[in-house]
Amino acid sequence: MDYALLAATALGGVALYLMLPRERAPLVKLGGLLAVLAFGGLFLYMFRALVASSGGTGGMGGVDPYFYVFAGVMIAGTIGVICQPKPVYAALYFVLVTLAGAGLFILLLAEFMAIVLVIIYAGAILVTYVFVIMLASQATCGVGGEAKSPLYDREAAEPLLATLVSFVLLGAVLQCLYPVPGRELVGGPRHSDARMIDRINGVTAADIAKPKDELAAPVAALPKGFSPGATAAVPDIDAVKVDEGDKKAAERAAARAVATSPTTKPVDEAKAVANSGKPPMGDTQLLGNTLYGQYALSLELAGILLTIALVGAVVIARKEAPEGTLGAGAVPHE
Amino acid sequence: MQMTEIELYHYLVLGAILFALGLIGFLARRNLIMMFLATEIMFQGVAINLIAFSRYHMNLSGQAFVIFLLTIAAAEASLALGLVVLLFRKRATLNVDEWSEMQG
Repeated sequence: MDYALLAATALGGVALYLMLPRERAPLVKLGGLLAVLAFGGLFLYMFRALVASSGGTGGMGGVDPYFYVFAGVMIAGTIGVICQPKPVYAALYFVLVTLAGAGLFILLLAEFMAIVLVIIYAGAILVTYVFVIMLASQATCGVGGEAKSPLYDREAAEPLLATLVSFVLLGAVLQCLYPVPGRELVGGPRHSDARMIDRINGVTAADIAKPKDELAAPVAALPKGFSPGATAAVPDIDAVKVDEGDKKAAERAAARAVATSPTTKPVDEAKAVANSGKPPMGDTQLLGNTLYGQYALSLELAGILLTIALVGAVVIARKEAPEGTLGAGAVPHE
Repeated sequence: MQMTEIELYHYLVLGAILFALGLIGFLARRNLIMMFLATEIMFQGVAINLIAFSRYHMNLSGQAFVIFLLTIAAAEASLALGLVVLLFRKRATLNVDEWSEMQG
């Protein structure tokens, strides 16, 4: 039971309770200060925990200050989202949260996911939110003509209960997450490898000694012209004699076995690429190989789901025709 | 002060904090759109967790899962906002307390 961590969590809870929107909110600034103190306390505690435990050789995110910058912006933006009475401002704060999250993804070497987050989340989903907020807007004029949020949302409903429940959950989760000497985090030794690209490029002597045709057999069984990655070394398919019958069936079975093996396949393929001297695969390529190799069925189902959701959204939000005036399925002009 | 390496649990803590803040936003607001925005915050926390685990295990399943998460979030956002527009047309208010009873 880490009491310092508990104190930081409780302080964060009090800070957030003070910052939730209310009609008379005299203590918002104090709440902001307490939130900064709580986050600072959390940071100090993390630092103490890190110093206490043995220093690891391989970290996850290499460059340290950027993690704190992005994480701080993300948390500040989230507090801005939930403590903002005006919905459009809250959506814009959420765009800030999304951009900071994209920065964190880049730190985690998932640059494709970062770009996807910006394009889809900030660029499509949040723009949709802003449009719907403007469509369903209920601005009421306050004193001096400034538009305020609707009356029922100006105050936070049940702030004490909401804050209590969420911070009890957060406190419990944080107690379990922090590494205490004698209690490992996710079981097993810490990952001691360097960054993902370094590992892929770091071709050891054992990798070079691996027979090159280990990749040739499954590749030869694929249809001609198909290659597992755009820059993967495709061996000369014509040079491999593929007989009809048993040998082809055996190679197809080998290809299937390789394709359904757990996802060391992208790393093995990338090692093959590194063997061949071509430029290394980035996150986009590795993710594409994984998605279309291992999760192809899920990908197709996700596409079908999106189509269903699109059709459903159009049908749901359509205006209904009045009885008898227009034909079935027609939308009246208004 | 010497900065040390960023370990896995830093990202997990961040994901947990985002999830808890989204939970507060969902429970403490009465505007329908703000409640859906809070669920999107919870999605962000989960996405941070997944990408961190994907990096920790050098495994791309986490990132594939985040792709599917974005798909589901987009589908859910479009349907939810369509329903919100429909509800707004019925009663001209976004107050979720107005819809707390299943009548009319």
